[in-house]
Amino acid sequence: MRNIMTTSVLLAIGLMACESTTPTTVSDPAAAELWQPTATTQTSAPSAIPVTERSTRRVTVDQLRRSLPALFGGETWTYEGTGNGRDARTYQLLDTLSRTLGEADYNEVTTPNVDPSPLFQKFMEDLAAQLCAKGLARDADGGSDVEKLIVPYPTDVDANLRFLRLKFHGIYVSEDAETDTDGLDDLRGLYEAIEADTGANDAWLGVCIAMVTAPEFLAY
Amino acid sequence: MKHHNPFGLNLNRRGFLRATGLGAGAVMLGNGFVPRVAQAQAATDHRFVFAYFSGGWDTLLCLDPRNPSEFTEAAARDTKIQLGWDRIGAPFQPEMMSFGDSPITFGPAIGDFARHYQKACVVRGLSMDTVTHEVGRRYMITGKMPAGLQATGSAIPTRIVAQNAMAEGYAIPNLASQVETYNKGLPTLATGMSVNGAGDLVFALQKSDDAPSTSIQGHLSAYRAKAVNCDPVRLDRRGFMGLIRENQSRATDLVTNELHEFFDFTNQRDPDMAILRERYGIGGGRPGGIGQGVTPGEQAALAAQALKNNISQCVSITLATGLDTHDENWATDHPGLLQTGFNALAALIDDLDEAGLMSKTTIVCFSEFGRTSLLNTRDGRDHSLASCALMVGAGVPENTVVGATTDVGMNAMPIDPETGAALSTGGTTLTPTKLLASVMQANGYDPYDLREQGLPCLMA
Repeated sequence: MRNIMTTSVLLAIGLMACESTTPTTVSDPAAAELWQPTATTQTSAPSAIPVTERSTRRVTVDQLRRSLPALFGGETWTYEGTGNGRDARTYQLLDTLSRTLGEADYNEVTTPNVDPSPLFQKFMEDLAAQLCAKGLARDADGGSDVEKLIVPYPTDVDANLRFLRLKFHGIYVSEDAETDTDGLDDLRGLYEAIEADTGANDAWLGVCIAMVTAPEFLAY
Repeated sequence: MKHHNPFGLNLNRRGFLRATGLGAGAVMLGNGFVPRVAQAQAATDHRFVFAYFSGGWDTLLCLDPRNPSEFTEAAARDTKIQLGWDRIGAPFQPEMMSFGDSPITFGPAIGDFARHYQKACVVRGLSMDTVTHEVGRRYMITGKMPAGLQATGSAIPTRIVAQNAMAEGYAIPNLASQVETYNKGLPTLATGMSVNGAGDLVFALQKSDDAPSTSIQGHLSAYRAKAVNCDPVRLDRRGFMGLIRENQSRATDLVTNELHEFFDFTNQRDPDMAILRERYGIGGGRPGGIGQGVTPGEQAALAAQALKNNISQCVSITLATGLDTHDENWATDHPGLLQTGFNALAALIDDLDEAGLMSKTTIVCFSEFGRTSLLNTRDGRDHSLASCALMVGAGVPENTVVGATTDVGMNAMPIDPETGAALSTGGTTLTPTKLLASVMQANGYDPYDLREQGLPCLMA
């Protein structure tokens, strides 16, 4: 009996609360287009939804396996085994070192390890150095500027840096952007420092390695 | 044995929690944040080697033999134990080794390790509760029974490194060669660096053929030191981008320290490598490079080099593969594979002894389970629930046998946790959890997450 009375009281309070809510017109015209309050309890336009984000993650080996050929004209990270006997062959290193790099084989290892460990970073350095060099070598082989992988704008350093920023990091930097907030100043500084030492080709190699090993490339 | 933290306080986890009044909270929160408060407390240069014999070892042939004059073929109907040593042939003598007053006995495949019997603690009657390879292996690696096939906790080396406040002093604190390694929620530093062998390790640690010039690398380092991440507020909230930058720097150190030279066993110019090759039976003509360095001798040499040169605190290696011999290959392959592994182990102990490291190194040898005491119809042995373990070094009771298997069917027997003597009734069952908790506790590490305390009989 006590339970029934309690429930009744709560129900009555709930009904009074509902009745006291008067539907109003949405003041924001943009919201009004999308939101037509009828006989609901909605009293105003929906407030901004708080942004909830997942945590940052390191790229997986499989993501690298699929994205690197797209970025470097079909090239992948390889190793030419030169020893005697069994290892005299070309290794696809993302496959050969997949377990060391943290890829699950779903036989012995069933959870991929996506720690940005020092070993992973070391291999990313190797990978970047090789693929950037391959990309620059292909650029040097000829073809039109639009087909170039690393340096499609050889005479305009800023344009090329913006191109690489978009290509590797997915960050669009407009021509009139404030460069001190988009990372181009640092990259231009790197380019100029290496160019002064050993020339433009090395400078683009350094910039390419910096971008492929950057957190912006390796995490998402 | 206790170890002191860098602040000179002699604390273990429980002491710490008591002192800070968090003990009750720890009980309530279980595996929540409180245990992490107390982590990274041990400060020790104590080292560990975990040596895996892959496939399930025949304990009759090595660590839990029987006297062939008593356990004859004719008696096998009653004892349910069939040695089968007449089938294994030369060079193995079908005899059980014993050593005077020592309780230790070995089977014919123990190899060169026999000379180290006085340093050994042989654990018999280890109850694995599984005959599935993955489950047994992961149980022994983590100290926790897997859920299905999935490991349910961090590997023991990962736990140890996570508790060591001085772990950052090692270039590769936790090195795992051909052995699985797990990190479930412990600091990244403790994660095992997993390689397939010395060849992969050399490849990982040396400067790449494609590496840019020193000049470019110098400019890259300067750039990275000041470069701002694209959106530090959003992407670096949990310090992930910073962690990448930090590990980039550590990766550079791995290469610049030229650590690969310690693992390049093919180096013909280095006289130390010639000594190492001879000690571990590594053929001088063996190729180096990726995929190499996986023989038992090379695995043991890898462990020795990592420990002797202060590169690692914990090294996991594989000293035997292919032990899963259900057919006639039990007679042709199993004894030789065991013997080669134990020979490599003996060489490792000699090496560490000469380097003065055995007093602060613990070696634990294990397999995923044992093999049946009767031969099957194909003259092989199947999987058995009862296994053994072998421990040598610091924190280990020397010249000791703990536990036993029954003389009928070789089933695991309960033991007296104080003395290690086998009991017919009562007592406690020896499990991988208790074994590994004892290894940790004996050397100053807290096995809290294993939910077991070490057994006095397994700790010196």
